[in-house]
Parts: sequence; C-alpha cells; structure tokens
Amino acid sequence: MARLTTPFAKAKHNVEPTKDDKDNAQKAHLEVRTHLERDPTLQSYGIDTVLIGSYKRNVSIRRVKDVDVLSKLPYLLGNCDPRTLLQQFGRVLATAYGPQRVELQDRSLKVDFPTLDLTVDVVPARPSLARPNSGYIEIPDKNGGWQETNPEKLTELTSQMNKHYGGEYVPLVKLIRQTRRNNLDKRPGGFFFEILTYHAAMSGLGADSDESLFVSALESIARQLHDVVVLGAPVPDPTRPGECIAIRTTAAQMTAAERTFRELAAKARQATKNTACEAALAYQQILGRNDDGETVFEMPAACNSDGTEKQLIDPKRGALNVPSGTKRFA
Amino acid sequence: MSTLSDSIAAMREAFIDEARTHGFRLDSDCTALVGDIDIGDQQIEHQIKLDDDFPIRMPRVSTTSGEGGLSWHRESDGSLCLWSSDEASDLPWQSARKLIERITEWHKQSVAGWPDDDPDLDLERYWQPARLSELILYPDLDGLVGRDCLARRKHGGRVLRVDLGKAPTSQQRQRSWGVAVVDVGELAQPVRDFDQLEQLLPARCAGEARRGIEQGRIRILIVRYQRQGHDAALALYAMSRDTRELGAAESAHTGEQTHYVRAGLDAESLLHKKVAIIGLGAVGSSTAELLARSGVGGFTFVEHDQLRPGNCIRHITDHNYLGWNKAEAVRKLLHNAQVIDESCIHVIEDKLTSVDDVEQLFSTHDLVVDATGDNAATALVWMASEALNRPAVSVCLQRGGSVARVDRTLLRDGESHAPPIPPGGPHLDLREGGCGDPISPAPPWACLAAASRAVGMATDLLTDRNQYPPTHIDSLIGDPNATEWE
Repeated sequence: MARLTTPFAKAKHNVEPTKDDKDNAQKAHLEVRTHLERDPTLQSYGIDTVLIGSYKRNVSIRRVKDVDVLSKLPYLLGNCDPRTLLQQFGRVLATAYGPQRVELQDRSLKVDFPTLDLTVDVVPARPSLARPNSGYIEIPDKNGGWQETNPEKLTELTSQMNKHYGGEYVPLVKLIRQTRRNNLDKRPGGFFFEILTYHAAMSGLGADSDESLFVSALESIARQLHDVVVLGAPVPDPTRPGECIAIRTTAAQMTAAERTFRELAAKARQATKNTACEAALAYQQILGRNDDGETVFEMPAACNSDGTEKQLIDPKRGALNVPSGTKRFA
Repeated sequence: MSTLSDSIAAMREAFIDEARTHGFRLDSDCTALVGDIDIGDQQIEHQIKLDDDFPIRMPRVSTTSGEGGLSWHRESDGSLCLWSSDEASDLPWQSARKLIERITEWHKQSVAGWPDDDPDLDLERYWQPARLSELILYPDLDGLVGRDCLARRKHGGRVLRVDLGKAPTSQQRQRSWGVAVVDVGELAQPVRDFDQLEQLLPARCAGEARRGIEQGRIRILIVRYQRQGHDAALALYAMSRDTRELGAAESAHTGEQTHYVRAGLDAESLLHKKVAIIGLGAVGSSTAELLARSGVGGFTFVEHDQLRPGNCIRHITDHNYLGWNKAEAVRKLLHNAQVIDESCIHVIEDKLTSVDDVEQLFSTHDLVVDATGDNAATALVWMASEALNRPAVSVCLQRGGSVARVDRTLLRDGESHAPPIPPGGPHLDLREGGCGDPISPAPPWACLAAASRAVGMATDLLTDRNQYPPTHIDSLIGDPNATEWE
C-alpha cells in the first residue's frame, strides 16, 4: 500500500515558490520585456520576447532567484557579432534601469531587482543558421561565438512528460532540484539535474506511489551520473536529437555529485525497506530545508522527530466506535 | 500536538495512503483527493474533500463533472449523501475501500431511482441558510394555502407566528410581515431555487409570489410539499427583494400532531387514561410530569403540603411557586408548559385519610400512583386496591436514596413481591428548622430515576402489556451493604 502520501504532498508544497515569488517574477519580466520591445533598434530586428528557463517550465523552487527572458531576433543579420549585440541590449536596459543594475555577462545580461530579491537574465537569440526553419536558435556563447539551443522545446517536452505522469513529473523535478540544492554546491546546477530527471522519467519510473517515484528517480540519476563520471558518457539533449548537453562544471564537482547522489539513492532505497517513520526521517534528511528555512519533508503525524513511532490511539481497537452502536437518542 | 490530535491526523494520513493505493491523488494543499471510480462500464472522476474534522466527520464526496444527477441524495453543495448519521457509529469512511464501495452503491441506486428510499423531509438542506434569528411557527397549513397570511413578531420574543391576516402596511412591517403559503404537491426531486419552485406552481400563484417578494410585501414563503405521501413544509425568508436571495429559515409546525409525535408510541392510548397521583413531592412531581408528557389525558393530584425553598432543588417546580400547594404548583407548571391543559387536572389539597375519598379515586381513575413515602397513606392505597380489585403503583426511594423501589398491587398467579429492603444507607440526620420529618439525602437524579421507573410500570399497566414484575428495584448508588437485601 502507498505510504507517506501526505508528507510527500507537503514536501511538494514546501518547495513550491510562494505567491510573492510568482508575483515578483511576473512583475520583473513583464517590465524588462516591455523596455526591450519598445526599443526601435531591437524592433528593427523583429524582437519577440518569450520566457524560458525553470520559471517558464514551472520547475523553479522556492525562492525564485532568476527569470530567463529569451529575445528572439528573426531579422538579425547573419554576420552580427554577439558581443556587439549584447552591448546593444545593455544600452537599452541601462537606459531603463541605470548601469548599476545591469550586468553584462558572457552570454546574457543580468538585470537586478534588489527590492524583489531576484534578477532577470536577458538572452538574445537568432534563428539557427546551420538549420534554418528547424525551430532551433542560437544564443551567444562564452567565447564570443554562437551556440545552438532549443529552449522552447524543453517547455513542450516538460508539459508532455508531466501529462504522461498524471501531473507528478513537474513536482518530481522540483523535489530533485531541492535534493541537489540541499546536498551539492552550485555546480552542477538545477538545469542539469532537470535533464537527468527527464531521462529518468523517459526510462520509466515507479509511479504507484510518491515514494517509489522519488526513490526510483534518485536511483536513475545516480546511475546516469555514474555513466558520466566513470564511463565518460555524454548526456543527450532531449530538445536536439543527436546532440548532447554542454556541462559547465569541473571534474571534481561532477565527481562529488556522483558520489553524493550514489549515497542518497542508496539511503532512499534502504528507507523503502524500513518503517514509515524511519523512511520519513531519511527523506527529511535528503530534502533538507527550503530557502525560507522550513523543513521540506515533515514527519508524519504518527512519527516522532527521531524516526520512532508515537504511541497513539489505535482506531483498530474501536476507539472511534460508539459502544452502544447505532440508533441512539439522547 | 496532543496525542488525540496526532491520532486523528495519523488516521487522516492512513486514509490518504489507502486512497492513493486506489488510484486517488492528493491535491497540493492536502485537503482533497481526486481519482476515478469504476461505475458500471465507465470511469467517473470523484473528489473526496477532507475537512479539518475528518475522520470524525464524513468526507465530502462529489463527482467532478456533476455525474449522478440532482436528487434527494445530494447536498446543496453537490456532494453525495452517503451515510445517514445513525448508520455511521463506526465511522465507516475511515476505510477508503469502504468509502469507494459506498460511492459505487450510491451510483447504482441513483441509476435505479432509489427504490428503497426513506422519504427524508429535509428540503431546507438544498437552500442557503436564511439570515434570520427567529423561529417561524406555523399552524396546520390546510386553511392557509393561497390565502392572505402574516407573521407576527412578538416583542422580545424569538418566534414569528404565522396565521391568517391581511398583509401589513409598510408602517406595520416592523412588527409583522406578509406571508405566502403555497403547495407544490409530491416532489420527485429537491427544489433548490425560486425559479424551480415557480415551475411547480400554477402561473397565477407563482406570479403573485414573485411580485409579492419583489415589492417587499411578502417576506416569508411557506412551501408545503409531500414525499411519498408524507407532508412537510419549508419556510423561506426573503433576505432582499431579489428572489435569488431566498434562504431556508428555521421553522416548526405548532399543531397537536407535532406536539405528540415525540411523546412515545403509547401516547395515543394514554390520552384516554386517567391517573390519580398521591403525593406531589420530589418523586411524585416528576412522576406526574413524565406521565403527562407521555400522553396521559387526565389526572387527580392529591397533596396537602406547601412548596418551600428547600424543596425546589428536587421538585419540578421552582421559586416562582413558593407557598403554593405542591399539587397546584405542578398543575400550573404543566399548563404553562403546554404539556396538558389545567382543566384536565383535578387537585385535592389535602391528606388522603378518608376511605370514601380513596374509593372515589379508584373508581374514577384507571390507576392510582402512591408517591407519598408515607406508610399510612401507602397502606390505605394498598388495602383499597386489593379490596376494589383496581390497580395501584407505589414508588419510593430507600436507604437514603441509594435504592429505588416500585411495587404494583394485584398479584397474578405465582407472583410475589420482593421482601422489604432492610433499612440502611447514609447515617445522616438532615433536618430543616421547625418540627417535621428528617430530610432524605436522596439526590435529585435518584428522585427522577425512581419516578421514571414508576412511570414505566404505570404505562405497562395502563396499556395492558403487563410485562413488569410486581416489584422492581433499582440500585442507584453503590452500596457496600447491598448483599443484605439483594
């Protein structure tokens, strides 16, 4: 029988961005997009802004720190230098927000919203020159060139996968991102683990309970990390068949991630064999606290905080039954 | 959290786990489960809403797309009526499996048209509650349907009484409101709003009701209806001049039928019986009240004593009757409480000492109840009963109120009374100022218990069931010396 349904539901709730998070993110990205779309130069490139990233795919976890805005420029000339383009974006945004709030990065511009405690990353993009009409786009890379990508496809794939898992895929991604945040340093990042979760889901996860879904996803991710670190296997990009994900991480960081997730998966698998209270304690340790300092996985009502069982009234002994039975009057 | 709240929360979580096993999914705020249930050849999605008091209270179950149709078995919020309150002492919904089985059965019954349906007369459940603090009282509605009626509000009262009368003018509407009484006949389905109600009424009647509400002349609409031949009425209060703002008000029928429906199954036969009660003290007054409330139609009360302040703690009357003869006080109390009209109670403000008087009581009453606790009076009643072959019941408390004893006369073949209970009980010498008998330490509840048992035996005799033994003894208070007399 399924168990720990309620603590898992609460855990999903506890990693969910708050209403303030969502409101702030919306306010910030709408404002930035309006400034960009009003600029005459960018208008001449046919600017069309869309949301991408974890916020768009609804896989952000509390707190939402950044929102990604893709600025598609369909009329941009093929010989355009990405650095020049980024500077053009920088001028538009600096005019709107002041230079202190706009930071030029390798491949995007970061606009700071200090009062909202978040940033908006603006990523310029043009249609793929190599594969025109494919839907693929190119964005600046850190070496001053262009890099092919297909971020909107991931939004579509996420939605399809979520439907396939009866709405449980997106919450699972959030729990995996929370697990990463609680157990690893900055790299590898949440996006990388989202892709690993996608591959895990593609391979088929135990979906008869929240517990089996979570544990089987952890095990699949641990196996994929093992293949990356030990076998040097690439991670396929689900949005571009035949291509792989570019991983911005050091070997040491990847090795640490592999070791950590191997241990977490083993711990979770062992938990499935233990009592519900012992298992709950294990999941609590794996998921840790959210950015508001709240415990993500709360102990079930029947369990003490140390994973032992509470002495409760046993309904099987008839504690809730009325001794005199039905048809009573008083 | 306390052990109790933890236990309840754990039961809730166990239910959710079980429902998950049956394919239900818990929503993000952990208050509802959604899942498909096989109903016949189709799968119907249901929502199981778990309120804070689950599993003490039943979950609210509904079909997410409204399948199952409107019927008497749906609450006003669309949820399914799955168990009546008296079917559910073991809280069967604690088990997700049992709940799903019940939901499946509900749909089967719904398709079959609820062939074994009990006709619950609860149309008010399907309307929003009225914002009205008063209770609306209405008499038999036969003479009121389609006629001018009004509801009078009494100063400081908590009721609005409906009766025939011209609709009040706008100046009079502070004290009384216009009322329309309509009859919609047998209802196949619950009526849930005024538009549905209008469809069931003759056009002229519906139009008058609508205009009356919209013009502010009618504030109360009483809807008489039938279910499987049972009559009932719904009182609707117009919270504004908008017919969508009609709410179900608390209401009650004031007729005799309603008055006696809770008096017990013997009430009808007891209505024609007359009982004489001798002694209207602590036990006798309660005996009189219980017999009257059970339907006995005529009484003679015999009592010589006045009501004193100290009596009030065990007597059914109160300080408003201090100085009254106790029998007279009981008669007035029962009259004022509308239990029985005072004209049906004859009072003898005297001690019973005359043989002629006793003979008269036996000859003119179906039963004589001795509640005097006085040996001489009891002996006289006992002798007269045997001599006249007329029944009597004697009730008393003994051993300081720890034992209630009721005896009847006229032993049948093979019967004998229980032997006397030896004296005993608490050794307290309780007295009030002045001369008089010592005061019994019997608590009020023991007096009521003795009276209840006496009424049980009296009713047994008056209805000719004759099931009671000649003596009935109740040990009311634990008595370490009980083996002396048991």
